[in-house]
Amino acid sequence: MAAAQDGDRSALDSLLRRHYDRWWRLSRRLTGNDADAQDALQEALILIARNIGRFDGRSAFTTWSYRVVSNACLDELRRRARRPQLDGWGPGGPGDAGAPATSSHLVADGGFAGGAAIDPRVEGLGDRIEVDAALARLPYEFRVAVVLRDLCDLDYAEIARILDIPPGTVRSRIARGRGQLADLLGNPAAEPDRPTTSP
Amino acid sequence: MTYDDDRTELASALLDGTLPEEAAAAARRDPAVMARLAQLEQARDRVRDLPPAPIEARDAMLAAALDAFDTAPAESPVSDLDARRRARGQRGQAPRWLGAAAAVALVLAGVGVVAILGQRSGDQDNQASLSAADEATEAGGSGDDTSASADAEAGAAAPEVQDAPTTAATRAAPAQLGELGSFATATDLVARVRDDPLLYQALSEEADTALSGPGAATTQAACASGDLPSVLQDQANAVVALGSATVDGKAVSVWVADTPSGRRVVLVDSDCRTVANRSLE
Repeated sequence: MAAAQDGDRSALDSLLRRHYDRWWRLSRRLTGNDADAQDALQEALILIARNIGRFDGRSAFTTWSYRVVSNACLDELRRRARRPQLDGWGPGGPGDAGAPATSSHLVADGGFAGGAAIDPRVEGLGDRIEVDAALARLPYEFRVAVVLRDLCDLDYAEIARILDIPPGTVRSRIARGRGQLADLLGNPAAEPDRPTTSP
Repeated sequence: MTYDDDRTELASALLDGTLPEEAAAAARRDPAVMARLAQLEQARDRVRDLPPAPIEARDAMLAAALDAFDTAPAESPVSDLDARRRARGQRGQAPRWLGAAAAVALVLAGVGVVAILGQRSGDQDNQASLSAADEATEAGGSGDDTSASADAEAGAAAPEVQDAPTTAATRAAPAQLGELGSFATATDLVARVRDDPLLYQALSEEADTALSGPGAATTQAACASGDLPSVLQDQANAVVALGSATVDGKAVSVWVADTPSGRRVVLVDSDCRTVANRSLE
């Protein structure tokens, strides 16, 4: 870390590689599809690389980097929201536009129908698509809190620092987000609640 | 808070192991809470089920980040609260034309938003969510860390547009392309602009100006006073879209204009130099 801050390129390379997978997972779950996840993560990596020398160490590197990645994802989602979509399966994919995408939806569209043997790479895809679609329907505040907790295994205090909100708000958002996610996964037609404006 | 909410809060706290022992024991005796806990656990496990990161993309992305590291500007975006405030204060002392540019850009952005909202159907939930997230980010964005949004805020990529009506014919409010992302080369960015769906809509509008075109690319400073890029400073040109991007690590503003030689994209760096002037046709 210190070497990277001092301008050591190979040290930065090692640092980025060490954290890449967890940043990818966060980005992938927040954006809901590979293409947007790659765009967001690319932005985040560049920001981290450019600003590593200015990172003051007042927070942990992971906290700082998760914050950069989650903000890059939010920026990417905003960009996506500005782009008109031809249908519910545009660049945002199944996680986009709150489309009621399910594996049965895919089959109905002919995606996986036909009774052919399932490619191992495809196995589990339908389930992941449902999770993406359900996460996409959560308000972003809930989604990011749930993903930081349940995917990244961060505790409430660290999530609070990343999102710059009180730990009590983190706890509440995680609980409400989890509840809504469970309801959506159990019943895709359910309507998620909206967060209140005050923490 | 409803009984269901209470049950979910208890189940969530159980899942995280944050309940005091006594409260946890009481919660475990409640079958409804345990049933909810099972649902939350199942949802959590499904969130965790992700394929590994694509290796082929990783190396290219890391290479781009290292390139950005190599070419990091001397004045990087600020990374702490005080510095951000200082930066805001310095921005407050910017020339008056910058304020006017911001006002015009806001109006144009508003027009663009109305246009986009008019075109979109459905997705009200997601839009509301993003709007709420916008508010939350803006309200809570005073932390001590650098963010992507903060970087965009600190960057110099916003096109200066306040003089556009006086130096070039703007057929209508230019489409707002927003931040287009990072690109290794201007060619990549031009390809991205060409494929932008929003711009595609702008392109589909009737082009009714027949005008004399800009010259070749130039490195002459053009926008020190907030003017259009020099290559577009002609009454004959009509700006149809504006945006911003990063090319080879440098922030650029993106101007798309109808010219007598066809539709062109012009990239202008933060020193107001035209770094590319390409045909979009």
